[in-house]
Amino acid sequence: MTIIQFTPFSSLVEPNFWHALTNLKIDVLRLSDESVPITGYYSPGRSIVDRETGNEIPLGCNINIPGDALTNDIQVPAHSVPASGLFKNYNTIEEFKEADKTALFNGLSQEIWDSIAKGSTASLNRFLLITFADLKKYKYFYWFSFPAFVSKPAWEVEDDWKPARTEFSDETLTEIHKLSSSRPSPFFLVRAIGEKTEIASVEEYGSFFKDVPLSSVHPSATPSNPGWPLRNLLTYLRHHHPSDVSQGLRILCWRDSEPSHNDQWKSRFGIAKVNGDATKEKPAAVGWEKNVQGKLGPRMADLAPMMDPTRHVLADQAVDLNLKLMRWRILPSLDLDKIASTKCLLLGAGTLGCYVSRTLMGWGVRKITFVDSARVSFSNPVRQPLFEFEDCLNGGKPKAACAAERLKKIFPGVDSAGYNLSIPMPGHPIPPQSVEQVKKDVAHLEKLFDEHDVIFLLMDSRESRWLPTVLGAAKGKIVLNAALGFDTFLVMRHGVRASLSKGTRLGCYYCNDIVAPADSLTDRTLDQMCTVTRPGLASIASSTAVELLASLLQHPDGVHAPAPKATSSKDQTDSQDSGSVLGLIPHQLRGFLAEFRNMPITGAAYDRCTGCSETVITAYETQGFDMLLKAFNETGYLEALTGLDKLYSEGEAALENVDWEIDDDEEGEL
Amino acid sequence: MALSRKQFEIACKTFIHKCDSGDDPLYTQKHPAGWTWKEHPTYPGLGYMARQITTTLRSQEDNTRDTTESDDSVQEVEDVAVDASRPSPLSELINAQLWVVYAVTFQVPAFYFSAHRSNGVPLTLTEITKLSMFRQGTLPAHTGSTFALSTPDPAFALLSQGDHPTLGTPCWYLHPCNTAEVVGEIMDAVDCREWGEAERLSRWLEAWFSVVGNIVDLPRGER
Repeated sequence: MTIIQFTPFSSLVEPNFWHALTNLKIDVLRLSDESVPITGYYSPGRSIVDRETGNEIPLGCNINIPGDALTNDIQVPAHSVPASGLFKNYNTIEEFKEADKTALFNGLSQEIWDSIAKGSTASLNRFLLITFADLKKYKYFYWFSFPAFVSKPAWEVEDDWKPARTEFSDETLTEIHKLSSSRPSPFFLVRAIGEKTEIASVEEYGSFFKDVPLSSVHPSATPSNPGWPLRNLLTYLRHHHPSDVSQGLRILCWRDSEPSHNDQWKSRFGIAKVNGDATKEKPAAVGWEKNVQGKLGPRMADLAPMMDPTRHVLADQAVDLNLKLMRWRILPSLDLDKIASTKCLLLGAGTLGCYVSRTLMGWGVRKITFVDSARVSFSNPVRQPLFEFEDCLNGGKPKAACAAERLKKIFPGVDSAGYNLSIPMPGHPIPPQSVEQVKKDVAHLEKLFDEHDVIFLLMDSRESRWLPTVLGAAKGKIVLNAALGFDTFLVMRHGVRASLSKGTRLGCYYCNDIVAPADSLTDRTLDQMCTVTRPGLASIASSTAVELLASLLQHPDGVHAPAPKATSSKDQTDSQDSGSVLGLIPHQLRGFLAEFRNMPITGAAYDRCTGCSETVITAYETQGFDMLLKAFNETGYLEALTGLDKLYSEGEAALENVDWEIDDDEEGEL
Repeated sequence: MALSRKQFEIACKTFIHKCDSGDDPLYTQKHPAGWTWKEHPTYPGLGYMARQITTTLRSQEDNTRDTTESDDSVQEVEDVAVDASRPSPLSELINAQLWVVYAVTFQVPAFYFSAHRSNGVPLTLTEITKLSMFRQGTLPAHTGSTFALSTPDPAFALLSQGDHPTLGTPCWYLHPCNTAEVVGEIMDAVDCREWGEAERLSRWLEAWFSVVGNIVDLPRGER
C-alpha cells in the first residue's frame, strides 16, 4: 500500500484574461470588490516528449483561465471540462495583502462540504481567485486557491497505479473514450459488463453499481499521481459510501483525450482505500497555489511591456514595420536605427514645423522637440496639420506644447516636448528690463542644442535664424534650414565651422550675404514673406528637408558629407556615388513651384560670414551672452566684427556679384 | 496553386473530420490532429482552425519578473497527500495557441500562434526562438529586431508579428509567401484524378502541414 499523492492544480492564465479583467474593472466593477463568478477549464492530464532529452514531461494538473472566464458563456475546448469559482478583485495592494484569506478559503470549503453533504458533485471543483490589478503599471497580483479536503488517515493505493489496459480491454477503453467525449464530465462512473460499456454520473452510484463497484475519474497528470480533483471526489464517496471505501474503490484516472492506437492507452487504474470511519464534520482543507518561488504567496504578471501605451511594443513595432520592409526589399544596407535614434530640435512649430515633425515620425524618429513663442491662431489649423480649430479658442494654445501633445496622440511612443521660448534676433534690441529673461531664454536654448543632434530652422523670419546658426556651428550640430517664398523654397544644410572642417567647407544661411541680419520689416526678401506662399509648398519643403537629413545620416561622414560634384545639366549625377545609400546629399535645394523644378546648389562658406565664420563663433565662445547681446542691440556690430563693413565700403558693385539668387541660368554651383 | 476562402474552409473541415472520425486509425499518427474549426462571433466566412498546446522553453533563465513575496498570514495543515515534487526547472511549460488562418493576400493557409507563460505574460521574440515546438536549427538566430526574424536571404521575414486576421489579437506568424509554390510542387507529384474536391483540398492541407512541419514540430497522435 502506498499513500496517494495528488498533483495540485497549477493555474494557467491566458493573456486575454488580464485584458478582460482590466475592462471589467474599468467598465463594470469600478470600486466594487464583490465576488463575481469565474469559470476555467481543465482537460485530461497529458505529457509531452522533450525533443532534446527524449524524456516524457508530465504537464502537471493544469487549470486554464481563458479570456472569457468572467463571462457567462465560456467556450470550453474539446475534451475539456469547466470548473467554476469565485473571483474577487481588490482596489489597493494593501487591501489585497491584508484580505482575510483564511475566511475566504473557509467560506468556499464550507460551500463545497455542504454540497457534498447534499449528495451533489457539482461543487467539488470550486476554486477561488483573488487579484489586485495595478492598472497604471499593468501589474496583476493574483492568488488561486483550489480547496481540497485532507483525509485522515491518508488514502492509499493497492499495488500502485497501473496502466488502464491491465484492467480493461481495448474495446472497453475505446467505448469509454467515445462515451466520455460525447458528454464531457469531470467525474463519471463506468460499467463494463461483457461487451457492453456504459457510463453514468457519480450521483447515480447507488443504482448504477449493483454488481460491479467501479468508479472513475477524469483528469490527472503524472503516472503515479492522480490529479487534484480526485481528492474531493474521494471525500464525497467516503462520505456517502463508507462501506465500499473500506473495501477499496476501483479508480480509473481517465487521461485519453484521443482514442489510442497500438494499445498505448495513457489512463491509469488503481484501487484506492482508506481505513477508519469518515468524520461527519467538515475536514480540514488545503489548496492555496504556491508562488514561483514554491512558497505560499501570490503570483504576479507584469504586462507593462505589452499594454502600457507609451511603451506599447506592438505600436512601436507597427510604426517601424513599413520602414523595416523598406530595408528588406529595397535597401538592405539602410541604417534605420541611425535615423530613429537621432534627436531632433525643431525651431518653429508652424507650417514647416508641423510637416517636418510628421515626416520625421515617418522615419521612426522618437525624440522631437519644438520651440516656438506663438499661440495657435485662427489662420493656422488649415495649413498647420497638427492644430485644430479648438486650439485657437481662448487666445490660442502655445504652439510648441500643443504640437508636442499632438505627436503623442498620433503615436504615444514618441518622446516629444514643446517649449514656449522666443529666440532673440539681431536688429531687434533687447529692452534693459528684458535682458535677464533673454539671458535665461538663451541659456535654455543652448541647453536644448546640447541635448539634440539635429537642429531644424523653421522660423518665419530671416534674422531669427542667426542665433541658432551660431549655436549650431559652435556646437558642431547638423543644422537644416528651410525657408519659403511665394512659390519658391530653400532647403539647405549648414556646413561645419572652419576649425572642424575637412575639405571644402560648405556655407550657412548667411554666407552669401554681405549684410548682417537686421530687422527685416524694411529689408524683406522673398523667403521672408513666408505666410504668403502656395499652400503645398510647405509640405514639399519640409519633406525635402527631412529627406536631406535622412540621406546625410546615411553618409559615413555625416555632417561632413561633401556636396555632389557639379555637372553640366545634361549629365545625370550618379546617385550611387554619393556615399549614402539614399543617394545624393546636396548642400542646398532651391525649389521653383512655378516650374515644378528643384535645383541643387552648392555654396561655399564665406570667411567673413556673420553666421558661421570662426571670428563670430570664437567671439561667442569667449564672450558668451555679452557678445550675443551686442549683436542683438548694436546695429553694425556683426559687420564690424567680421569685416563686412570694410568690404561693403570698398564697393557696392560687389553686391551685384554675390547675389546668390540665381535665376534661370543652369549653373549648378556658385 | 492557391486556395479560395471557400476551398480553405472545405479543406479544414474535411481535415478535421478525417482526424476525428477515426475512419483511418493511423490518420492522426500521420497528421497533426486536435484542431477545431472556429468562426468569427459576428461575421460568417472568416473561419479558422484553432488548437492549444503546451510546449517548453529551451532555456533555464527565469524571465517571469515575478518577485512576489510569500504571505505568512496563510497557513495550511500538514498534508502528506500532496505531490510536492516541483516541475523540472529545466523546462518551463509554455501555453501556445495555434491557428491555421486564411491569408487573403497569398490565398493560402497561414500558421499563426501566440505563446505565453502560466501567468499570462506573452513571450518575447528571443524566448520564442527557444520554444521546443520549433525544430531546432530551423529558426535563424535572433538578430536584434523585436518583432521579426529573417532568413539570411532578406527578401522576407520568416517570422513576424501581426494581428490575427479574425480575432484581431497580436500574434506571431510564419510568412506564407512561398507556400503556394512549395505545396503545389508536392501536389503535382501525386495523382489526384481519383479524388473528389473535398478529398483533394484536404490532401492539399495535409501537404501544407508537412511543409509547416519542417519548422513547427506539431505533436501528432497525442502522447
